[in-house]
Order: sequence, then C-alpha cells, then structure tokens
Amino acid sequence: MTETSKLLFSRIKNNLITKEVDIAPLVIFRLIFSLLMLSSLVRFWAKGWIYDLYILPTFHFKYFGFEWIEAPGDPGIYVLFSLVMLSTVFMFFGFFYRIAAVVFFLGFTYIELIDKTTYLNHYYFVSLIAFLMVFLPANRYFSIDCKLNPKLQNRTIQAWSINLLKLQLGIVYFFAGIAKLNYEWLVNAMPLKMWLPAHASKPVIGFLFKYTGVSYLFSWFGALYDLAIPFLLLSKKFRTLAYLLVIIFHVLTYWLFPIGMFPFIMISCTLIFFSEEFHKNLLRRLEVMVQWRNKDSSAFSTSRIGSFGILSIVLLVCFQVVFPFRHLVYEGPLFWHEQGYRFGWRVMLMEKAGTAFFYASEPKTNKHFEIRNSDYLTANQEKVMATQPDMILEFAHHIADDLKTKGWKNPEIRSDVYVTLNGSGTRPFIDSKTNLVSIQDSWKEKQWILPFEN
Amino acid sequence: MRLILGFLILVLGLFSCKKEDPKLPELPNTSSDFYLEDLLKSWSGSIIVPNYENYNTDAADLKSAASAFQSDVSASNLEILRAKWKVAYLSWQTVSMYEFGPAANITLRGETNIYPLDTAELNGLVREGSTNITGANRLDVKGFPAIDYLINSGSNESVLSTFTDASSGSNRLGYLLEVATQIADNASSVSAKWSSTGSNYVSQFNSAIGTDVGSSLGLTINALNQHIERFLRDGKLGIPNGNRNFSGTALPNHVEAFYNGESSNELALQNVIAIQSLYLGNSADGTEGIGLDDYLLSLNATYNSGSLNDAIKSQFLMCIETIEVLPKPLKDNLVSNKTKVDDAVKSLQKLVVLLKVDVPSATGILITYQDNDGD
Repeated sequence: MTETSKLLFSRIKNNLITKEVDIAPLVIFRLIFSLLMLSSLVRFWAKGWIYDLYILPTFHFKYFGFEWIEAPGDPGIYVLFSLVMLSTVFMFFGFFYRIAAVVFFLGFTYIELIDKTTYLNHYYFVSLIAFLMVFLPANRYFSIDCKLNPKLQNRTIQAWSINLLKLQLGIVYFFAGIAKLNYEWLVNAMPLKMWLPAHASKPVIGFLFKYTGVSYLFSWFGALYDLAIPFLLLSKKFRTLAYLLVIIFHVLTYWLFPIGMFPFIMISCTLIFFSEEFHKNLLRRLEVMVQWRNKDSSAFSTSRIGSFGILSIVLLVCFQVVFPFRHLVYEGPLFWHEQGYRFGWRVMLMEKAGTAFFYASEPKTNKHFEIRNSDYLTANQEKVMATQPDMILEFAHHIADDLKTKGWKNPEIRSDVYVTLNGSGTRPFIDSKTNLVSIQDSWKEKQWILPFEN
Repeated sequence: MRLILGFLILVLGLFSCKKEDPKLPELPNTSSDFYLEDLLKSWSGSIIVPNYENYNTDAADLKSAASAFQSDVSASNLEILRAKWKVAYLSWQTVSMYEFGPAANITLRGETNIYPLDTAELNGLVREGSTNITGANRLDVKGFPAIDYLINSGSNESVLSTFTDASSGSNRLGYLLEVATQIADNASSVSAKWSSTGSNYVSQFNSAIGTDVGSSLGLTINALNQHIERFLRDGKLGIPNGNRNFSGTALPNHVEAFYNGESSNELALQNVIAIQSLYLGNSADGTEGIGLDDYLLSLNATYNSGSLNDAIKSQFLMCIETIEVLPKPLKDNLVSNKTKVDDAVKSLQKLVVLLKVDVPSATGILITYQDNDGD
C-alpha cells in the first residue's frame, strides 16, 4: 500500500467506521422501521392478501435454490404473520431486540420466499434492512433492554452502524437509477409514455399526462433523481431540497401507480440521512413525551466493529454491486428474457404483459388436451407467470406432475405464450415445439425463449 | 459535488452506448381530444343499455309465448314459441358478456345459459311436478338450454305429445313457463338496474373513469376477456371440439342449442358480432359511435410495425369468417370438419391475446382479478 492509499483508508476508517457518534439516528430508525413494518403487515392482512396469496393458491412458484420453502398453510401462515408482527413490536420497544430482529428477518424473508409471484423489489429491500438490523446496536438506548440491563445503555456508537444504513439506501436508489439508463427509458420515454396517458382523467394535473413531453420529463427526472438523491442527501447543503424531492417523487409514484407502502417506506427511511442534531432533537422530544428516565450506567461498552465485521460489509456490498449485473452473461434483451432480472432494483421499468396457453400430450396413448390454467393457478399467478420464462417452465413441470398422479406416464407439456413489451404488440415468447418437461431450470441460457424481433 | 457530476456523466456515457434493450418504433405524440368519459357514455348509452332493453323485450315475448302455449298446446303456438326462443337467444348473445355490475350481482350468465343440460335431473323435476329451479345446484336445468330441450327435441308431433301427455304434460308446461319466467324476470331485473329510470347503474358506470381495477373500463375489458376466452372460445367451440378433455374427442352434446342444432353457429356468430360492435362503438341500431378503436387510435397503440386497432379489426373479421364457414349443424360437423373448427378456435384465441394482453397493456388498464401491489 502506498502512503496516500494508506492515509485514505485510515481516514475512511476513522471518519466513517470507527468514529464515535450519537446513537439517536439509529434509535429513531429502529422506531420508524418497526412501526412501518407493523403497519405494512397489518395492511397486508386487512386486505385479505394472506388468504389470496398464501392460502388460496394450490401451487407456489419457488425461487431457484429455495425449493424447500413450503407454504405453512392455514392457520400456519397466520401464526407466522402474527409472529413476525409481534417481532416488530419487540423491535420497536427494544425488548429482546436481537432475538426480535432475527425473528423478523427470518420470518419476513421466509414469507417472501414462499412464492415468486409476489416478488417485489421493496420486499427484497426490507429483507436486506432487516438483515442489517440484526447486527446493529439499535437497542442500546431508549429501549426496554436498557431498562432491564443498564449496562447495555450507550449514548454513542461507532459510525458504521448509521453509515451502513445510508449505504444500503444509497445502493437501492443508485442502482434503480442505473437500471433506468437504457435506450427505451431515456430515448423513447417508455413505459411512462404508455402509462401516463391512462391517468389523464386524474384531477388537477391529470390533463398534462396526455402530452408526450411530460413522459420524457418524468423519465429523465426519475433517472436523475435515483442517481443523484443519495449524494444530495449526504450533502449538508442540499439535504433539505433533497428530502423535498424524496417526498415529491414518492408521493407522485404512490398517486400514479399501485405500489403500496413502498413510497412511505422510502420517505421514512431516508430520514436517516438527516443530521445528528436533528435526530437528537427528535429523540429528546420523544423522551419528554413518554417521560423516559434513563437509568444511570457507568459502563461504557461501545459495540466495536472488528476486521471480520468490515470484511462482511465489504462482501455484502460487493454482492449487491455485482448481482444486479448478472444478466450481462445472457444474450438478448434483458427485459424480454428476464434472465437475471430480479434483485436488481428494476422498479417500474417496463410495460410487459402476456398470456400463456399450455397443451398436454402423451404420444404413446395419443392423449392430448389444452390445460385450463385456472385449475392450478390464481388469476394473479397466471398473469405474473405469463411473462416470466422460469415460472412458465416451473408451471409446465407442475402440470406434468399433476397429470402423473392422474395416470399419465410420460406427459409432455408445450406452450403457446404471447407477450408484449413496451407496446411492441404480442409476439410468440416461448418455443412452442419444446417439451418443457424435458427442460430443467438452471443458470444456463434458456434457449427455448424465442428472440425478441421486430 | 463536481466529483459526483463527473461520475454521473461517466456512468451515463457507459450505459448509453450499451445497446441491449429492444428498439421499438417511435410513437407519435399521444396528446389528443379523446376522453374516457365519452367512451363510457357511448358504451352504456348506445350499446349496453339499449341491448339490455331489447333483450328484456325479447325475453318477455318468450315468456308470453310460453304462457300462450301453456293455455293452448297447438302446433302453431309451438312454432311461435320456437321462433321467440330463437329471437331471445340471439338477443341474449348481445348482452351475455357484460357479466359485471348488475349482471354479476345475480350471476346472470349462469342463470341463463349453462349447457350441456342435465336432462336426467330436469326430467326428474318434471316427474315430481316441481318447478323449484332456484339455487346454485339447479343452474344446469334451466335457461335457454332447458327450453331448447323442452321444445326442440324431436318432431312437432313428438314434442307436442310430451306436453299433452296425461301423466306429465301439465307438469312439463308448468316447468317450461317457470324457466321462461325466470329468464324474463332476470332480464327485466338487470335491465332495470342499468336503466336511468331504474336503479341507475348507468350513472355509476359513466362516472367510474380511469383504468384501475374498479373502473368501468377495467370492469368491461376484464369481463369481455373472460367471456371470450371461457364462454365463446371454449364454451361455444373449444369444448365441443374436444380441446379440454384428455382424449381430445369431440363432444357434440356440449354445443350451444344442441337440440335445435341449426342455431349453434348463428348464436356464436351473433356473440362475436356483438363484441365487435362494442369494440367499434357501433350502437344497437348500427350507427357508428365512440368505441375502444377510437381510444386505441388516440393512444397510437402499436402492434408490431402497424397499428393495434388494425390488427384487432382484422382479427374480428377473421373470427367472423372462420365461424361463418362452419357447416351447420355444428354438432354433426365437429369430427368431419375438425380443421374448420380448429381454425375458428385459433382465430378466437388470437383475438383473446389481442384483447387480453395488447389492449390492457396499451391503455394501462389493470387487468387483474385480484388487487395487489406491484413495483
């Protein structure tokens, strides 16, 4: 190592990792995050989605490598949701915090892994934050754990705890921005040019959405926003402006698109970028409000990060930087074949829709018929499956397995799938001659996806 | 700050030269004077409500004919009844796809047109002298298929003799009238719920603008797609063609209007034409108004290198053509003219793809039967 790089490294370490800072931002984050999660889960339950998504379907699309995850069924899934909800309450109060954080991370992630149909970037984001929360000393102040064991209490922590959260949020935004840097988004303003005019009947500014220029404005603003916002939030000078943009951006997306809690999660989580003073103030007010009395503690036991911790963070960041780009090893347009699409912060990036017809046959017995997808899938599953090759393949295997239980020996499944991407018009998606039962899912190039041609 | 900007420019430069995403034809400006309100008003005012009113009239006529036949079992009254049955059945094809709102509330389609008929159960009820045909387990012993069986299975003489039979004749007449009465009552109830002089669902329909799941556009398109896929493509042609059973053999007794036979083709054709009229905005009396075609044109919706509207219009013509060439009666030609039936099913399937995938995608209509978050 040269002198300058050594100097740089030690400056980074001293300022961003080991520097002692006030715990207030982390405590506030703990409170906000647990509350948000609790309300998300309550909302999910109240809307009847536990039933719709985890009980109603007789079949679940598994994630590659997580085929062992099973839906716990009724009432198991309600127990699991209750447990995860309970863990958010424990996290909020900082009561058995570490255990609660582990339960929340594992429980939430397990639920998300049950069915690929429900994949959302923001669930992935929640899982990542939940994972980090397991290791952060967020219960070292203003918590029941501290009441019970005053030795835990700590007004200061090392800066890495807070910076790690900022880094995670920054990655989400920045990569969502990079994902928008594509020809369709920037040059054709797609898919916003298709989506926005549908909102022309919205009040006040709705009429604007008829104009193509507005779609371009939104596309470019969206891309620039995602790329720049982490840096703007970091800078003291632009922070207020940046946060105003955060609010405008997310409220707008909430108003226009069915994206649930995500906007509110981002608006609340980005508060972590605010100054120590801001959080200290907020925390002080909270303490007054609930008449919080800190127990005196003479112990001073900052949770210090070791080289193993630093290495883990570096690995986690490397993974998140590399994994979204895994699609580069596959040929053809990513949005069409979707090999390597998930877990890449590709949010609201394309208008894709399709429909799939499946045919079962058995050459030896001359049996053949068209499958009724709704015999196996919910309407939602059917819709999501029709545009994603790995799900189409998985479904074909499921049909074959089912037919085997009905006396078929060697069912062959073929499909006619039609997909439209960004208004291209429907076109064949999957090679209808391929017997999908003879294909096993893998990381290998899916040759049976037809090329996207004009 | 300068560093950040520099980095941004670098990244922008890097990714803008990557040419991995599909290039699509440039779309012209989409600003136009099309208003969704106008489409909804055109649909409800000149298509849906008038068609329900016509159907209501025709169903009432059917009921009167059944009633006249009950009081005088004659060949001439049978002839009138058959004619009225056919008129009402054809009229039904112009409203059967609106299974949302008032129709969905009373599951009108299930109440009116479930086939094949369960003749054993129907005959059992007639023997008992029961006219209890309400409830979910009685759907396959009533509606148009039941009347079809009662008045069309056999020659004039044999049909008349079943109604004059000493032991079950009057039961049969009573049953017939009850079926016709239910058809008419349901027609009148749904028609009245739509009507501005009745429950005025029409105003609710006209004001639910937008493209969300609960919007009128969303409701109509979703109902239309389900209908074309399940009840037109499958029900009228695919299932009789054997597409849905393991062995793939034709099922002649699964055609619509099986006992009449001759009308199956016409009923299917009428249904497609009614859906085409809705698409084009053609009113019940045939004048051209605002339809989905105008909406797609205003959005400049594309299909491959052409216009989506052109693709859909020509697919409608293809469907009509392939149904028109099906030999009559359908039930006797399922095996001998299988390729023609296959062709008709395929054309309808392609229409399904266009209406179920391309239209919602181009218009931003949320086609989901279950509300859920997306991202």
